[in-house]
Amino acid sequence: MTALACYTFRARWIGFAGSLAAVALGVALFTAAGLTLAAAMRGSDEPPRWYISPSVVVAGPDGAGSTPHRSATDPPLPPGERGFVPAATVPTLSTVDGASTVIVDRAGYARYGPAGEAHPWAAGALHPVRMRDGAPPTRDDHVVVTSPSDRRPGDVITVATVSGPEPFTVSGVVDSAAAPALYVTDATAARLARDRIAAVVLLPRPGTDPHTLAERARAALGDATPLRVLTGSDRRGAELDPDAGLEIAAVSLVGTTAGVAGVVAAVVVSGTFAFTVAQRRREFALLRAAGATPGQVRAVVVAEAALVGSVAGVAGAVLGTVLAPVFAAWLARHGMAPSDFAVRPVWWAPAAGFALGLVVALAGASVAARRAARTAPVDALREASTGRSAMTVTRCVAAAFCLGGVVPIARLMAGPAGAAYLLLVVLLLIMAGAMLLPALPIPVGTLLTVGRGAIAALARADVLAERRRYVSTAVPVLITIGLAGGALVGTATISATEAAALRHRLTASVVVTAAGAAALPVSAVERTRAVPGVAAAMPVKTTTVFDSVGGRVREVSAWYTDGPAAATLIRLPVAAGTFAELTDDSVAVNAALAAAHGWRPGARARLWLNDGAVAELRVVAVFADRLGLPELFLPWSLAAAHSTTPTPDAIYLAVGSPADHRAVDAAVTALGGTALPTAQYLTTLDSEFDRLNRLALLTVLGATLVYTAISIANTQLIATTGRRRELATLRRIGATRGQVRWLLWRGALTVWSVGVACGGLVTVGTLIAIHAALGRSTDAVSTRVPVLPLLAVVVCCGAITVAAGVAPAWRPPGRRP
Amino acid sequence: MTEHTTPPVVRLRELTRTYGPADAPVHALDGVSLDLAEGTWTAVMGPSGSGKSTLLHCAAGLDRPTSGDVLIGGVRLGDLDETRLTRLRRDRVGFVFQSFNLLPSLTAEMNAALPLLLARRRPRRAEVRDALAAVGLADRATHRPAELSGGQRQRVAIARALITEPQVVFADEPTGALDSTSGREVLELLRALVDERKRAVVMVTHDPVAASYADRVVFLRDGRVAGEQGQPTPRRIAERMTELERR
Ligand SMILES: Nc1ncnc2c1ncn2[C@@H]1O[C@H](COP(=O)(O)OP(=O)(O)OP(=O)(O)O)[C@@H](O)[C@H]1O
Ligand SMILES: [Mg+2]
Repeated sequence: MTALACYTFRARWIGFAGSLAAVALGVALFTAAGLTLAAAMRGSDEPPRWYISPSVVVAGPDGAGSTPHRSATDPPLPPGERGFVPAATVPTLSTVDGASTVIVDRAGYARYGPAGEAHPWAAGALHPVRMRDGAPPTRDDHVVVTSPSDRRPGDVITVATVSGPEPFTVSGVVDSAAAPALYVTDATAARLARDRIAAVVLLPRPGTDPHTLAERARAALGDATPLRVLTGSDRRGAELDPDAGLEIAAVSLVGTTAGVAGVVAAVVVSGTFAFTVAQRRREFALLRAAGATPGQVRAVVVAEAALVGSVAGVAGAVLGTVLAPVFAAWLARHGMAPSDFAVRPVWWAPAAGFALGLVVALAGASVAARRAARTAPVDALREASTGRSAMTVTRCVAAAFCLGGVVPIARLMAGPAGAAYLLLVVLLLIMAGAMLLPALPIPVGTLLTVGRGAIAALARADVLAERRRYVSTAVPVLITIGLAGGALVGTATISATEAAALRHRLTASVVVTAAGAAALPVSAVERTRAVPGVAAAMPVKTTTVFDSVGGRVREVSAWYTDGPAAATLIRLPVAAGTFAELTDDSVAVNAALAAAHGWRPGARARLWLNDGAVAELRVVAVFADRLGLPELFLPWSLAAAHSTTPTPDAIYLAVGSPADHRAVDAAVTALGGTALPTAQYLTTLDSEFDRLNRLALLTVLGATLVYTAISIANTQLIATTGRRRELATLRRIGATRGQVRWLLWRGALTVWSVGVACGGLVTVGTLIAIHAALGRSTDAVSTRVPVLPLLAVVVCCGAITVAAGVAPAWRPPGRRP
Repeated sequence: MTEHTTPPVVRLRELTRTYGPADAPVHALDGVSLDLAEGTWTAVMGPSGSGKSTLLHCAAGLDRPTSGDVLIGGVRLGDLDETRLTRLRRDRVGFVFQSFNLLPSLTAEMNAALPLLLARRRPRRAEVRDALAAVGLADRATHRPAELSGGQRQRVAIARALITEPQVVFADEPTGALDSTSGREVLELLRALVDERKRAVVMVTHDPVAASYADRVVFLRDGRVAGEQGQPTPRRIAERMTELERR
């Protein structure tokens, strides 16, 4: 049968162009997203940038979990945070045999030029360093900077530290193979790092293998340690990557893109195959009449799909590989990926794209093949018809299944990964819509084809007899409008609701934030408190900590803040206990967390903080789960011990009148801060957030929507081309060219309306799901409908549907089929 | 002719075929019984809508009757599943439709060889060329249906029906779309098939002249057999037809 399929394929590959295009573009989309994802997930195989010389690095944990062997599914520490090594382990490690030197490496926040951390001078032994000018630091206010630098020994520079700007005297300038850093005395390094140790590094004695040394270090530390003993390029895991946050964001963004692209490509490809098979019913009936068994007909269809799937799969994989660098460059240019973001060829992304195309083509075709195989030989004699495609029980059940799937996922839309879950909800709703689509063409078609003319009657009859064609061509319209509508309306509504919730929660009238790139020092809190008219000041640092439920470690959103001040600066829906006691080794948790663990005020909560350290904290308050609030609050005192950079993201103030922000501003300018009325600050924050949201949406949906728009044209072309014979007959019996075009126009209009109606339902369904999900944790969901973009999508779909539906009739219909 | 001595290739027993909903059925066939013997040519005639095509489809195993039996070479078709039925049809039955006969993507040659391909028999080039030559299309082997005239397409269909050397050939108005010369050629082709190769031929036609090539004519009316003629002549047939259509 493959031979026959090959022959048919060669003879009329033009006829297969539609399926070829659908598969190739779908594969290209998925491959490009996959390659970009692979590039975003790089890192582990890159060489270290700080621990360059051969060494064994003992570093703190890089995630939560009580054992040294965290499971792969356990979440990592939040970006920009590191685990620390207890000082008590230094003597233990010093006794390990085979180490020539033991270096205690500290890394305190100290920003000057491209450097972001201060290390002890001894750390210069960890990588090739050559003194270019001057001498090592000998005084506690000495600093060695890395070249290129316009500073000379003797210059006094101001370094931003956790406690504020500090003057240092340059004692030397070095050429370093490592990332830019500041080198200071041991005592200063310890002070700036708040006495915390980033890593203990063992330099092996000549002749000692680092791996042997690592084994000994592990033995010395014992089995129960949460510390990591790293060698080779694993040591990269002990370095803070300044791009880590962006990289994680890029992975999740591109991952979502790949997911959406994959699902949409699968739906479009399998739909196109099913449709083209349905259109060739007479051909299959003829095969049956000529002696083909049902099994042989099935085999022909499947072999064709395999051919189309592999030819188009290769083309798509190549196209995707070409497009991926363009996509990656676009991401980097718009600040959604690190600036050095580049695609490296990995074989598995195009392979996965190829496999997706082939598998989906085969799956789509095999369903259609079963229907084709059932074709009775006498069907060859009837007029060709793609069939009616009624609402079957199977379709209803599948739709119910999709709608049922929305319920558990919708709840997660209120969480931190809300955007991804929103898209999942939209995709499920679209699939449910696609299942229920056969119910629509007849009512919509009848509504649109009122009139008594011959063409109106023809159009009506066409909808009745050819429902499958209408359904198949409306699916890409539904996907385009549903995806755009659901995602646009959903994102706008969720972010508007969250913004409104935050505004509602914060009663602070003025906020202080960092004016430049340097972090806002903690000293700014005291400074603002001293400003006359300031009734309360509350530093806030947003982070992620971890709890464990049933052995599974989960990420929990948290704010480090000042408990007593929070009570006056945030509208806190306290259910039990008091925030006044949130001062040291304590925690306030929301009702959901409290319920999950059975915590009540006075209970002891076991958590992992953002440096991966375990903390046993006293629960002092339980508050209601409200949008705009984190899942738990931690006292500021813990931030100092557990944050790599224990500085506030913002300081919220209660000031007599918002106009007083000028006085505050004057007070914090010297510390690198700036003060704004809270409302104004939140507005700029919102618009920045909206800009990023728009970019993210464009990233995730842009290419997919282009793909679905092309599929609209594709299926319309396939459909109208398949009607050539019918249209030629119409022309022969006296219909004018205009009448034929008018008939096609009406058909295209029905297809578009069916797609728009169903896409609209998906959008409404998304809104309902959002209301249900957010309504439980906020008083008012702010529904936002971006009318203009939506209208643009709807109109574009209409233009494409009509143009592609009518275009084939512009060519004179062939004399013979 | 020795009809009574050779066993019939095709036997139809009380065939009925009903279309449409149960409350308003169309009885396309209403109790038809016929025997078709080897080496004979039967013409089926009757007014339009009398059930001729339906009869042919059921007898050839392309369609399943609502009730009654079809036996081909002693095998009851009703007992076979779709795959077995297809195999039997492939081996023993040739069929020429009224219209829409060929796969548009295949050349004349491929179309003619299709039953062999489907039976997983590698067709010899000469075999296919001979079959096409027999219908006068030796020089059109590599043309696609769109490049052939209506009569030529019909002849390709006949070549295809004959290529497996079936025991019985069914033809639904094979000469309907042909001019009188090519029509005569097709009829002579069928005649030779019956006389020299001892095949059975069943042909539906509206043309009394064409029907007169047959050994007997069976008349259908409203799905029932309404008489038959042996050794028919165009005139007698025409008289009978007028009579049938008038009643
Ligand atoms: N698929 C169908 N559904 C409903 N009725 C049908 C179907 N096919 C045939 N009929 C009806 O069955 C009857 C017999 O049809 P058939 O095609 O056998 O007639 P025929 O004798 O071949 O006519 P003609 O000489 O015009 O080809 C007709 O009344 C026709 O309307
Ligand atoms: Mg007929």
